[in-house]
Amino acid sequence: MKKTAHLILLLLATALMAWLLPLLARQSTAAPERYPFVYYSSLLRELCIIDYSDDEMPLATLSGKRFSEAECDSLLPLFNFRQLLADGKLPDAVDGVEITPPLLRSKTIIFRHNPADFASPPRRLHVLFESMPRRLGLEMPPDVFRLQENIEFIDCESNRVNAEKSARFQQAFARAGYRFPARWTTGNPSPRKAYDEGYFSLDAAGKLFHLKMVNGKPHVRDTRADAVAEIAHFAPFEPADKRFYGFIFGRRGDLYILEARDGGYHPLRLDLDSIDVARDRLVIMGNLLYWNVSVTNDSGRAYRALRAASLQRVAGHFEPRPPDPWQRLAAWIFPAYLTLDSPDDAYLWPRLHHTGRRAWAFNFLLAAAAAGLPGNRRRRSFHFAYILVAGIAGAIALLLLPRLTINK
Amino acid sequence: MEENVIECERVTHYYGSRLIHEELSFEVKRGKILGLLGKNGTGKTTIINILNGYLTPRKGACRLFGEDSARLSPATKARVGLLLEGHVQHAYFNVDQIERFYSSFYPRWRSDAYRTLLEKLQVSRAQKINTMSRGQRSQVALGLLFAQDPELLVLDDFSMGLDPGYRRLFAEYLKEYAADGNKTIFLTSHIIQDMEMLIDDCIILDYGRVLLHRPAAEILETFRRYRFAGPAAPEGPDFHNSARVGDRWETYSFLPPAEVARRLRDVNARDMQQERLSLEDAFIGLTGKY
Amino acid sequence: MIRAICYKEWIKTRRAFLLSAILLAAYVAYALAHTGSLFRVNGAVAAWGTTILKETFLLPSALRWIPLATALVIGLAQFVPELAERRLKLTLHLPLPETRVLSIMLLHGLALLLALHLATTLLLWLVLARYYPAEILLDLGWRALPWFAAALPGYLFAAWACIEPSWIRRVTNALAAAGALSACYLDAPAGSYLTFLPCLALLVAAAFCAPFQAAARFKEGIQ
Repeated sequence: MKKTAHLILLLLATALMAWLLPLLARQSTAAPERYPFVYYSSLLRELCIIDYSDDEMPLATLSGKRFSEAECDSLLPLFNFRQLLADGKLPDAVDGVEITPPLLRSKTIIFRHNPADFASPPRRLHVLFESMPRRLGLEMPPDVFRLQENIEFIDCESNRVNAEKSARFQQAFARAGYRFPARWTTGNPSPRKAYDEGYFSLDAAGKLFHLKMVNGKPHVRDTRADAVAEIAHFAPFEPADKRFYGFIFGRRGDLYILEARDGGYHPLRLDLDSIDVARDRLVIMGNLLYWNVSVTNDSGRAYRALRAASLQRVAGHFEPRPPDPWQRLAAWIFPAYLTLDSPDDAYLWPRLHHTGRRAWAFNFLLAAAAAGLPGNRRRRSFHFAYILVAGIAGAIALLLLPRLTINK
Repeated sequence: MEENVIECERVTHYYGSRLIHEELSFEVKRGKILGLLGKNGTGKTTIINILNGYLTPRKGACRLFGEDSARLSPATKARVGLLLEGHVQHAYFNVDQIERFYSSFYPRWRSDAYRTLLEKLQVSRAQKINTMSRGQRSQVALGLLFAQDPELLVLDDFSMGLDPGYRRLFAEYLKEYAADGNKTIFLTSHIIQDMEMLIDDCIILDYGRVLLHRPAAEILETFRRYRFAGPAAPEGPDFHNSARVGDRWETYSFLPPAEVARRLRDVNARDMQQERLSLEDAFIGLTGKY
Repeated sequence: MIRAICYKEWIKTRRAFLLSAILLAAYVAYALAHTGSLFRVNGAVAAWGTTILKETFLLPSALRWIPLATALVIGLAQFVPELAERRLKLTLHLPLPETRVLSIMLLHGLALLLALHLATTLLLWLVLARYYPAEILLDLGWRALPWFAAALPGYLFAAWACIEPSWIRRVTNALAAAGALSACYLDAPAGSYLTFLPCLALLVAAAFCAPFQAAARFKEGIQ
């Protein structure tokens, strides 16, 4: 029992060190990701790299031309329109398209997506706002709903199901052809918005439905987006110009916007390489004419410029991942380490990360040093083998625990 | 066949780099009451802890009923009664609760032995042990031991902190308990006079070794103090702790008085006086004064 | 004999158990009062909205530490008397395998904690079911689960630190325990610990071994 207990504690202490030491090291070396800021210039018709730490020539095109700060604002009018407006330098048109500040504001899109947005525990209760409120602003409704085997509205005050309202909505689902149980339901509920487009829900048959409440009445429609893509996820988005409802992530890595046109739903594909929903982080900065899309993962960041209207690619660029201090440290010291969380999902479980071969040399040196310490041969051999595998985490665990004495 | 109830074989132990015991070996036969004597720091507590199974010696081992004392089987543990230094017991129990607890473990539990002892204490059955005096607690501990009826008792400093009345009571009960000849008792005490009336055999420890292992009666019978006048005391291993006291000498020896007288004449000693000793005086004579 | 050991452990822990029960009952009462006040002052809609939209934890934050506190109280009540005057020697000398004696003692403590915490969870569910639907109660449960789960290894580590004969090692044990228990206090949304449940089970199993390691050192006479 003594040996077993000691070994189990040793493994526990090693796992603890394999988690805590890198955690402390990462926090000590934390630095922002140093990717350059890349934006498509509608005037130069090129992707540009903007580095404001260079005071003299912050803007450089991929073809090698450099421009000063004074020229920078004018070359990116759709990005810097507020500054140009303040300076009185905003042009009347860009690329033949007439521009006004309200138009530019309404076409500005900033969308961020992380893998953890989808890989998190699902919300099971939702707040359905009135889509066409009589007064300005959204009011918190007196009930919430659950959508699983059916739809039920629960009154907050009484904590009871509102049978009448639930039945009304249930009938609307039936009329729209929704098949229960729901796979997932997603929305962007918040009273701090100008308007709310309700929720989108994937039914048991993989069809995407749109649910909202209009003048108190249920509005449930099949978007028929499944005709175009096998839908994995949907990220709701409410642009100021109400052009689309959100982003459809397809199972094959395809990405679409779900346009609102002619009272219907029209998926429009973004001309991008396949997106890995579990790993890729997405940022879309859109303006009147172009959308700047960056897709970032462990290998680097891919920049794409798409035409705003057709979402077809006009330019692209790739930046490999710059080494960060933690990675450099880990490559030398931790051949493997544990984390309990991940930026790619909201769940907690132990994940083992490998950094490469160099750090095994460090393990070897540590193990050799430990084997050189006084002690009997069996103990030294064990320490050598253990530290060779477990590294600095194992070495500290061995130090933390008292020596195991074996009685003959 | 006489059985060795306790066997210590070549026990060597250090505290850090300080040697406590070196190749210490002894046996205790069934039915004997053995007292372990030694000055502070000679390792009495070390031996007791090894026997109890709560200290692992660097080398060697002690065995109780043939089993390694650190790894006694449950059946053997039932045959061994322990008294810890200070008469330590689960003091959060009261008198009734502690009996109820221990009696579940020992099929031969003798409740009458426990209750008889406790009647003398004038304590209520609901009285918590941690509210009792040291003397009362010692009787509770003794009562529990007798009720367990073990074949071997290991008692660590059984008279510690007790007033003379309780010490005498304790010793008398132990003597009576061991009277049938089947019980073995191994005990230590700082108060040697309490042990004198009780023990059959005696082990005296010196630093790192056994100085003496003999029947107590033999020590009391043969070991004497000699006082004399003269220029010097006789030398050699037969004379212990010779010292000048005022204008006379004193020395100790196991040798017959006639032989001692002859040896003293050899060193021109005169006016020899011999004394029989108590066990305590014999101990001091053998180990020296501090 | 198992009953006798449980009896002994109960004598030691009954006050700590009662104290913990009072503490937990007081918390439930406070949570009820807090919820009532939240509903009266802000209204049910705001209360539900804040947890659905912002994942606010609706109960008083003391729940984070109370389960671990009860674990430490019971662990100390059980094992400090064993270490005073090294009474553990008497316990380990009982005519039973030592592993079994210690296992029974630890299982007794764990059983007390489970009883307390399950009763508290049930009581909280019952009193809050009036105010919140099952989904919100489940979310609260998922958020509180790791804090309750921390009580089990917390108790075992407390026993480990108590039984350990060396003071320096007690300190290192306590630090290691704090490090291991910190895994139960990570900031994460409700339900995130679902995938961590096997690890929690492994942590409890590993922590169960810890007091045996200390008991072996106690038997060796390390000081």
